[in-house]
Amino acid sequence: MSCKHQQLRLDRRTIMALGLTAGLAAALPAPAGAAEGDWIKGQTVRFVVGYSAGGGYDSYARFLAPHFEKRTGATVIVENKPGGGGMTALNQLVRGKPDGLTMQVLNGESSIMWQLVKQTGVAYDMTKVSILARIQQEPHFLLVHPKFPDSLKAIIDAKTKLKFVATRRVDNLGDYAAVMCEALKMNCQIITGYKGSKGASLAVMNGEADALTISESSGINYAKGGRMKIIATIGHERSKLLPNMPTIYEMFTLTPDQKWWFDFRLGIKAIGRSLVGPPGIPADRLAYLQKVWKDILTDPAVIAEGKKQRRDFSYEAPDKMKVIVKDLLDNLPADKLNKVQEVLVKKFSS
Amino acid sequence: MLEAIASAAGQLLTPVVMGAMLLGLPLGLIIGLLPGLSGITAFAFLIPFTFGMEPLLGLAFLLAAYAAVSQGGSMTAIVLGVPGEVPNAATVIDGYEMTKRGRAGEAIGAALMGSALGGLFGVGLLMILIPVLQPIILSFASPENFFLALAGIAFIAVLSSGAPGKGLIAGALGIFMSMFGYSPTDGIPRWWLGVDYLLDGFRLVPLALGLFAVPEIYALMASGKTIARSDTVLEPISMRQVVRGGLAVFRHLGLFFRSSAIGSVIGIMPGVGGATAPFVAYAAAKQMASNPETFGTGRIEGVIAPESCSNAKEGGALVPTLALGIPGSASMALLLGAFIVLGLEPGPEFLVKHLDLAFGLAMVLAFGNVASSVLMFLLSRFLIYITRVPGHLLAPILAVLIALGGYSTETNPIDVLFVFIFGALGIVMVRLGYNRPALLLGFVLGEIIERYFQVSMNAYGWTFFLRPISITIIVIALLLLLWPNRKRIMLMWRSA
Repeated sequence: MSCKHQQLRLDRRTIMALGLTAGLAAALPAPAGAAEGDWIKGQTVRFVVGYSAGGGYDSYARFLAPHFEKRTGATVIVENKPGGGGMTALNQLVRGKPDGLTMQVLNGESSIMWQLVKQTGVAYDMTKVSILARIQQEPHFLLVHPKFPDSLKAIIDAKTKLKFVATRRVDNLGDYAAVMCEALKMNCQIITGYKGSKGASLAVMNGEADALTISESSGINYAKGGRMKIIATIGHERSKLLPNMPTIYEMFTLTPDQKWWFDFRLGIKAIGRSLVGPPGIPADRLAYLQKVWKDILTDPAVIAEGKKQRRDFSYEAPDKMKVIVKDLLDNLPADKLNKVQEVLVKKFSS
Repeated sequence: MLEAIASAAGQLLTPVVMGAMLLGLPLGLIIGLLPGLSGITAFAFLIPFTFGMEPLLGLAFLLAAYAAVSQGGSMTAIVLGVPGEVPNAATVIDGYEMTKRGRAGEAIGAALMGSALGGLFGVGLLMILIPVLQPIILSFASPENFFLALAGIAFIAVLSSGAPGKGLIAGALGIFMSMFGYSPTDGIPRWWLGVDYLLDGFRLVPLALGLFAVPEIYALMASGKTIARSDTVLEPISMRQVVRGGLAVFRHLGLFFRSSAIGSVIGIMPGVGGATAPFVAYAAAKQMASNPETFGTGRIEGVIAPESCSNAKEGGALVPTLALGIPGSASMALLLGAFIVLGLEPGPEFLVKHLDLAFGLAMVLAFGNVASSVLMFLLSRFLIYITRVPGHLLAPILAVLIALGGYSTETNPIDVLFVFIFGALGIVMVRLGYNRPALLLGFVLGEIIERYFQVSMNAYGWTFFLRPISITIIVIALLLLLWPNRKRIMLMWRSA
């Protein structure tokens, strides 16, 4: 056989071998997610937290970061950008590049409330942000000083004036109080200016004020030792931590208007502590991120690990959250919106 | 109670726990030496390392580091005129003057001894009060916070007794600057000029760094000379200076106890800013001293007072944190987070279930104060050498350090810009003879006064003036203010 002929044969063999390999490769199933997650693998992802390091939102971000890294192959940096109670970070996020590489662990409730009441400084639109998942939400409790009766009904019937505490009017303390006072036609005063929820709770403990509406975990802590007592659950369902405490819905036969107020505020609560990205993230990247977060936040191992560090998770799908946000911000009738703004911001002030 | 103390001691004196404390100490010192970084930074940085640790081990590590931060911060205040933490700005006033006069070692010794003993005082008070913590904390409410802050404002006049008009103007400027950003009571931002950064107003750390550090750096650059003035005969560097300074605390025991008491009381009250305590102690020291007009020229009392107060305050701040789960300071708020991560719940039940741990934490704080002082004592010779480095070499390094310090608080580059803006203000104030501590005090207290006045009026009405503890605070403040003129007042009383 001549050299040239041998070369041709080799070339043909080579070509056949390559063709066979390509055919085999095409026939094999591709590894799951290999294509959809490639854009993020090896990239640096930023978890923005709108509060200083060491707080609750920061600790959730730092807890979740390694789980995100493991599932995506990205490197996560937690960036603290305190300011404006978290508003500044969100203002910056929505102006950022929508490439899916930056997301914020957000106080969703406050963000919606600020937009609703047209808080000065708001430069975002929650209907446009890319919602990735809800991390956690928990019911609220109503706590009062021990000098008051155990029954909220008795307090209302006696027309006793209740001094509620808050840091500001729209801070997850004052707004709950305002909604409760408006819905149940209570004799109320909301005192703002306390430094944080802990300063507010101290005011109730030392008798300077009478009542506080606060999240479940904090409420249970403050009620220990008898300096405050829980007298109602503000939620559609009872708390798992305090199953004997009835909800407002169980305690009272609510009129449609009363029910509307509680449903409205609890609708905002459904947003809870959530993960969001800037508006305009490409659909495929958004879908991938939402899938990853669902995997993480519903993983029993992650939930169990979180429980050891006193971190609870209550995942909610972004589609459902988007509907809630739209209902709250776009579909509220004008007269209702005016009433909401008046009750949340002005009514019951001293 | 004795059993709890013994149990705590037994748990602490193990190689692992002692090792954790000894590991935390140098980390805290390094953080303290870097301007702008504070106990909050130490906690934020170190808390993640404690995940999964046994509670006492994790807390021993954190608290030892925390106790050391303040020591590091006071060293830069004395040696470089750069406050390591905001409360150290009070130490700069006389501490840095001592350094310029070649007495850095004495100032360092006084600061270390004052801090160590002040920390022990605060911890001792904490341990005594543990059985009765809750009723004490609960007796302080918004009116008491208001009157304490108001008394602090009155001390602005004391701080600037040499030029009271200028001092009051500086204080008023500080109060005005505190009004930028969110109103403390209704959350409406004021004068934010449409800039997100100003929603939260001006920041305390850039203000303190700029006001105090930048003018000194500028002076170093302009003169090119060493910090310690070479036109005077300088004592050779030796540990003798440091020991002399340390022993000076024992010659001023009344001052020490008064300053520590001020720090402990302010630390116990969660609402009043910890940054004010050293300034109040400094002002009180000036009031009670002979020749108060010499304060600011290198009086050792001007170092002992703020330093002993500062460390006593931390023991006080632990009080509401443990007893009620209400943090006594911003740093304690982070420590509270560490408690929760480590599976503990400070609050009313904590002292019942974990009394031994409470005592253990107090002992860790005591150990941390003393051990970090000893560590700093060993490093003090090196620090004194820095004061002999030519200014044109030292100034650029310091400028970089304060820029980093300004940035690191909130990782916001605009903070760095404001360090130098406030620095320019500080230079002008020094030139024109306006009192910088008065401005800082006004800035810190302005927000507190506004907040607690509004809250007190809304919660109590005008009768908030008549609360017994409030009246006591007013009386004590008046006594302190009128003390230098007591003889004249007694004469007038008798003649009337």
